[in-house]
Amino acid sequence: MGRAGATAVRAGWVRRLAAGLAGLGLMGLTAVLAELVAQGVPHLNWHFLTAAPSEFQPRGGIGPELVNTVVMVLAAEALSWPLAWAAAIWRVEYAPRPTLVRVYDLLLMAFQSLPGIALALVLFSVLVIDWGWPLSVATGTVALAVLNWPVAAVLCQEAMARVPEAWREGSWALGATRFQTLTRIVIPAALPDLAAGLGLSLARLSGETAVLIFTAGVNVGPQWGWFEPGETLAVHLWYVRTEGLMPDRGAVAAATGTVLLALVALGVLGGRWLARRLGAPKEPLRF
Amino acid sequence: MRSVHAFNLAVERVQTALFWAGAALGAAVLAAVVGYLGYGAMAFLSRHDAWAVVGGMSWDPVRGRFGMAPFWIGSAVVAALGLAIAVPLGLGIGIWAGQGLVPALRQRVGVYLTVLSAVPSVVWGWWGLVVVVPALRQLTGGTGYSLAAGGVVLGLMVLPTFAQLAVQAVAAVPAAWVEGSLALGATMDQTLLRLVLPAAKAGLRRALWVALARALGETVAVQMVVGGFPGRFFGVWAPGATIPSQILTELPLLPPGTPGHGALEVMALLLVVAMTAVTQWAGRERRQ
Repeated sequence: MGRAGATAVRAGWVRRLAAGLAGLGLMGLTAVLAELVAQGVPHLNWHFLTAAPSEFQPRGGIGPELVNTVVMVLAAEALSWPLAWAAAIWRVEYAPRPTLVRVYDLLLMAFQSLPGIALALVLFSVLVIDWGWPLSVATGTVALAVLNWPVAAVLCQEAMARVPEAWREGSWALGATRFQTLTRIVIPAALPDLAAGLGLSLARLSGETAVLIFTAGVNVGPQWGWFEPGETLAVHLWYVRTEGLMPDRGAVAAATGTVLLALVALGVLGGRWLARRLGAPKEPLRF
Repeated sequence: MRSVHAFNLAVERVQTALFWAGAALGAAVLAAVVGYLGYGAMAFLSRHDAWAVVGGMSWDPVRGRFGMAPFWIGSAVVAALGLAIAVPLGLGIGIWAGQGLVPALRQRVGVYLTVLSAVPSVVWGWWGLVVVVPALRQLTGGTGYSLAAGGVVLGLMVLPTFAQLAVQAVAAVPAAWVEGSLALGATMDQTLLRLVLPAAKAGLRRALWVALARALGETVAVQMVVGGFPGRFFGVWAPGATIPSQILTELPLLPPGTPGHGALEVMALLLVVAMTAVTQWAGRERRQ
């Protein structure tokens, strides 16, 4: 059957159905992003990116939100990544007793699956109500750091677990201590995956909303400060689309979403680019 | 020589302590969060009829009625709708990319799916407001804000996560098995249905659990399109609420200290328990 040169085994209807569904799914996802960018880009200009937001008038900007997002995400990462990395090192390189490891894995998994809204509820009650912290950049940063810890711990753990056990054994056999093995063998080998993981966690933090509504607030102060209200881009998008009163809220929301999408893509693809610069590409990490 | 060794041992001890501290701190924060929720929830349940709270159909905090069953139904409906959309499409992507594509192209698809799965939930919620809600308004004549809208938004939102895991699961089936099956005369479809999918079953089940966990916990994207709770359950095409969306909406109205706040803590605690159970199932699949 078939022409000469056609593949010997032909795809049946199940395969064609799968390809059709795949096309439908990828097109649907792409259509969402295309819709956002198509509606958002016409509204993007220097004024929008730098001006302060306005509550009732048109032509408000997202300058403070942009600054808040970048500052809070970077500060939260600086707080939580070292702690998470330390925990991952303990888990992969040191963890002594199997029982302890099982308990830790269980806790980490529970922490990772902790819904953002539950964390929002607790952090709002403890930090804002009980301890009297203001809805501010600083409070939001702490909330993001708590949220990021389990994600970063899992990413670091998977990155270092990919280093072959034989390399460690070789290093120990040559008389190196665990710490020497870690700094001279494991970390250099895991560096590309760690960089890609860092990008992923930065991207995830930039889009976080539920926790920040109740810790950083839904508006910005007259000037930037750690204890001023710290609305981020994602929260701004949520606020504008659910409670905003400005006449051009449709355009403001789409343009804010486009900038947010650009930041997220920058995190994911920047991390991958750095990973490729640092070493050979492997199957990408997942989160 | 001896002093170098002593120095190394000292460094080792300090480092072990530091890494221990890192791990312990994370565990302590988690314990504090769950302990706080648990304490608040228990205190609330001891003041009210626990069954009327968890299983009651009537939510009216002003009158002191805290039945949260409508939100459980809402969560179940929205998650089921979301998975009904995400699973067929994601399975399609998994089969198409996992077995049909050359590895270089498969990696491209993987990167695209990674970017998509990092797209913030507000962006999906925005799309729901701009596209899904008006479309449903045309279709059903209501406001368009509905559990159905939440399900559609959630379906697209968890699709990248599910598809990514499905691609990995299907691609992990050894090429030699597939070639062996084809060499024995099986058609592509027979190979797919009787070899590839059964072999990838554990990975696909894990993908399903992970997608379900994400769907259950999603707050903002659903809250933007689901419309809010109108008093009782009116059906899929009517406005409703899920557990997370209800907590988000009610937290400003029932801040800590008010009598009804404990009900939110009960909801959050039950959500944590449900999601941990689902994630545990996902972890179990991974080990097989």
